[in-house]
Amino acid sequence: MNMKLLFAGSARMMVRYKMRTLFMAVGIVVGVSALVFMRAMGVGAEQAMMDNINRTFSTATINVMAGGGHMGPRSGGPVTTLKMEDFQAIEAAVPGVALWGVMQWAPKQDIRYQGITRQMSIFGYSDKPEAVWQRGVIQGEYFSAEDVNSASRVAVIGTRAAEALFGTDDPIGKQIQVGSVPLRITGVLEPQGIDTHGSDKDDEIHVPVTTLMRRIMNADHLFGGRVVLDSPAKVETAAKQINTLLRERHSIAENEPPDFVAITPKLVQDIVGNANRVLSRYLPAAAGVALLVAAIVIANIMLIAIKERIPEIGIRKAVGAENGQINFQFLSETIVVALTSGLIGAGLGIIAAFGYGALGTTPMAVTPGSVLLGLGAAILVGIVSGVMPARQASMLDPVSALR
Amino acid sequence: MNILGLLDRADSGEYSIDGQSVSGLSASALARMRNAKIGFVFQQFHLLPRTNAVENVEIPLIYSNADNPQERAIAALKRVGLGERLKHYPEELSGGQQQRVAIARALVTNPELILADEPTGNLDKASGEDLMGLFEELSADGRTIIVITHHEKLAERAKRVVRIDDGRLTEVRHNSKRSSATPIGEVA
Repeated sequence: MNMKLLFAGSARMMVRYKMRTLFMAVGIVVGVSALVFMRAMGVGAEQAMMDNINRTFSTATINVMAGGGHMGPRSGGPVTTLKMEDFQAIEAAVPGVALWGVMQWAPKQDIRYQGITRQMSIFGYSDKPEAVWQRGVIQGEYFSAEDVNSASRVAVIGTRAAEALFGTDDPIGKQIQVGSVPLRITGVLEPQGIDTHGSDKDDEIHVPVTTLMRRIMNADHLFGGRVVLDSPAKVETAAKQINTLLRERHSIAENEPPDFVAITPKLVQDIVGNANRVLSRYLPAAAGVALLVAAIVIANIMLIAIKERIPEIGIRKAVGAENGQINFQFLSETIVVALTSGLIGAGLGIIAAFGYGALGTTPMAVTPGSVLLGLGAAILVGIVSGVMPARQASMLDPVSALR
Repeated sequence: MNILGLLDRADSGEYSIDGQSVSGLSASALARMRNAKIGFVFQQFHLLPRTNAVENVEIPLIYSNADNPQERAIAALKRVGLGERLKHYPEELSGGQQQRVAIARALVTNPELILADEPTGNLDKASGEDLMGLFEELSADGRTIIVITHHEKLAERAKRVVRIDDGRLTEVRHNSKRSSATPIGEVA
């Protein structure tokens, strides 16, 4: 069989029966472009989320949080069992701990400055926040180990909070008031924008964790802490050791749920990955429904086309086409249409994804895998919808076809 | 006609082509034999619409593995006197020209046998005469042409006439004016 002639013939049919081709193509173009676009959206969201996690949560860290939930304390009030001593014990017992820091926070405190009152969250950290939490200051200084030891009345402030309280004045050295506690501003926090929970990380103030616990909250428990290991390879083992150690220290029986959780990067990625699967898998599956409809439409159009082309099939058989060759030829016509529509659809999807991404509101990522997925789906639609009509064509009896 | 053209099988009896009995051959083998040995010309021309003359003539070559299909198709069209109409569509050609395209399509695989079923049935008298002239030329080249017709006068131009009335063979006559041709097909 002369393949070049055969495919040239298929392409010719596509061009000469324009309306028929158009109806066959529309479903695939829409389906494939939607698939590529939605995959770009899903993958973009996933990458943005992962970037965010990687920026704030390096691969060699474990977050140890109070409460048994994944991301914070369980409902029914704060868990008060996680203490500074727990982290000192972790440092002593777990091999490979390079750094650690602890954290507590007080949401929506009234912060006053010269008659202005503004509600902000106050976070308490230990020193070295750049190394532990990947956030430093752009101006002035963060508090020192000495400030943490002595529970100094100092604070660093987010850019948006500083602007709200001090306008264009230099924040350094200004004195603000939380309840009865005066705090002196020593630095301005690196801007971080809105976090994944939707809170504005630039509208908060940081104080030494001891200052927050003793002077503002009057509490001795922590919200959580972070352990930084000297190698990412040690994370999973260290997490196990931390679990054992803290269960022991908190006297938690084997069958009881823990009152803390050790969150590793892998755990976070699993959780986020699950959430994103909705975007990157199930949305494209909706595009799959469009493709299924396209397959049914194409199969119908081909069946009608074959009725119209009965004499043609008769001629082809008379001049020596075998049944298998007729079958292959009609299947190839459907596949040529499907693949061409798939290419157009993928092109439109890519253009739409880049166009929408350029608006800057939604991260979009077009991957070769998504495009191949779209083209593969198009070819599959071509095969699925073409098999039955092509078989029917090949079974025609040449004598009655030529009558 | 359908049995001679290997489009249908005989209910009884034996048909041999080139000394080979066809009754035991598979559908695919018959298709290959049609492709290689037989060219068809139909009363209704049966050209593909929206497909130009060269593309129509190329069709049998899709199913064989001939080199240079386009050159062969052009040569066949030139042979039937349509060298000036290569890119014309069937809708743009007269009946006589369409039938010539059909003959070129029958010729393109260089078959030993051309089967023509009422080839002049849809043509005016002058075109019909032209066509018979073309058949005579092809016959003179050494090709076997079998023409099925109701037209007594047309039949007179053949070297051998087989008359079939209501499915029965009633007369086999060698036309005295012409030398006898060697038949390659036999119906029993």
